[in-house]
Amino acid sequence: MNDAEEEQQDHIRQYVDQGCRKAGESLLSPYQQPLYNYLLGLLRNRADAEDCLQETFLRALKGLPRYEHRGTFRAWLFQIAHNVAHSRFRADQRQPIRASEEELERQPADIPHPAQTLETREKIEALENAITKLSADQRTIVLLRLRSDLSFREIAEVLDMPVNTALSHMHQAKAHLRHILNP
Amino acid sequence: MTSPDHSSEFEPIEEQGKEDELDQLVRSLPEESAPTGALEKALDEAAATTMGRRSFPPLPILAKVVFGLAAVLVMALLALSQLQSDDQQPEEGTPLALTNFPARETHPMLVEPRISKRVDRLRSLRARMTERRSSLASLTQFSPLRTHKIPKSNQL
Repeated sequence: MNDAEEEQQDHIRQYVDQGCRKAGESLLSPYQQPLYNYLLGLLRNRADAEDCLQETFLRALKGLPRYEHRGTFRAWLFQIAHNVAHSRFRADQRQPIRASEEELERQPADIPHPAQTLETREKIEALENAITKLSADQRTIVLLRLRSDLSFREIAEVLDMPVNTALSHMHQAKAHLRHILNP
Repeated sequence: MTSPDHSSEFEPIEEQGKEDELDQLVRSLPEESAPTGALEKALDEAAATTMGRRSFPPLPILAKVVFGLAAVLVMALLALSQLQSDDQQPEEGTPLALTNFPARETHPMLVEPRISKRVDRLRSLRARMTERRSSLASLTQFSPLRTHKIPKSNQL
């Protein structure tokens, strides 16, 4: 166990044993941005992503007394986020991959890029649209790997699949993206 | 079914997923800053749900002293009221006042005739029992079932 993991364990103990709010905050706040990136990329809706982020944190806080140190804490958190997002999809009866046309049109406008040139904006828009056209597993892996910086071992843990399968999905996803961007 | 992981036999996993231009392009996509309230709300909600389960924190010494004094005071008051109520108890042989009886209980004046009736009934029952016992005793004395030896003089 390295220093960072030991610190995490200390925070977990402090939160579980003493109900220390600050320990809970220190434990989870570093994952706020990567989790939000992943949820927003998957759900493509700010309100849904925010709801799911809150639900992820709540489930994590409630699950901390039962947390066992296997794999990484980050992978455990992303697994919760992944389950929360998929529960939301099931509840909404929506497809996780194919966002509605309205959402696709709205998404680039949601994110302000004042300093970007038109060409860059077009590139970004094309890339974002291309990502939405990937399959569920491919899109999830692209988001986890490139938007949330998870390792392939962690991705395999989150998606409960062998590392080789995760690598293979990533390879296929990139080939698919290249094909969409450069037909 | 899961296939065995042979990736580490050849080269590190992260090496297999080597970064290229496309990866960098995806990574460079602008990101929206995460809402800060989500973690706060989750912490509040988690605290609210665990509050009920968590045991009460230990009481400070002052609170313990106050509780102790209050308990002693209550006990003293109870003892005092008990003594006062003992003083109000009627002396032996003194007829109880009507007001001392609860409303639902029957007054002794109303109960007395019933008791005397029962006593009469018991007396008559006892008399009948004595009568029967004596008649039974006489029956056993001259019972035809009893075998008497026939005197020899009376034998044929």
